Amino acid sequence: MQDPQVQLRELGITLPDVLDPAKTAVLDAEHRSFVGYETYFFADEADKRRFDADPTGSCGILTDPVSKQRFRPGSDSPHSEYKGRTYYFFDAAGRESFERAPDAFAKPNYDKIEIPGMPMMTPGPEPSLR
Amino acid sequence: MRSAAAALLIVAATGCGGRPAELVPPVGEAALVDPDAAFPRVRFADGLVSENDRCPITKRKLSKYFPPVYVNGKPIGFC
Repeated sequence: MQDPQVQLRELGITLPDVLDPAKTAVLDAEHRSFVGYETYFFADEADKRRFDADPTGSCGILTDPVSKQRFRPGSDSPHSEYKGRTYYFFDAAGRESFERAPDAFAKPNYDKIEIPGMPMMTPGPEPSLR
Repeated sequence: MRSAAAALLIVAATGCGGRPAELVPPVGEAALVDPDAAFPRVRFADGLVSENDRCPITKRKLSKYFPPVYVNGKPIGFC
């Protein structure tokens, strides 16, 4: 899924702008930002620019790409740039692990999900939403 | 003078790091909100309910076993 906004529109999903929930986000690539596994859409370019300048202030809860724990980043949370995307980590140890092998962590690894009583799952949707 | 220095030290100790990171532990296990519904939504481990009721890829029922993708902080389920 190279264009997550297409699937979201097909499902009839509307989302509030993260910076101003009174506004409805525009679901297209020009109004989109990625932070780690998470995707954000904005109502206008100004909100997108404000968000991109300091995502930690308004991104809410993120998934640590290494530990997979959910966390609310701090203003100086460790982060790393990889393939044009910023990844935030709960702690410096996570960033160190990521930077040693970024391809192992840059996308969620669904093929390792175990369901009781079922064989190992095959990979789910290619996580371009991520 | 000493009290001013002490106050500065306290400010430095508490303020230099800015807003600290905070872990958000799960509140439960993922479950279907209404298992009898044709297309039940999923309540994920963080307590949030999927914005969608069917898989964005296949349009089939959601699976509680797939972790969600978060868009604007809202979970999108898959199958």
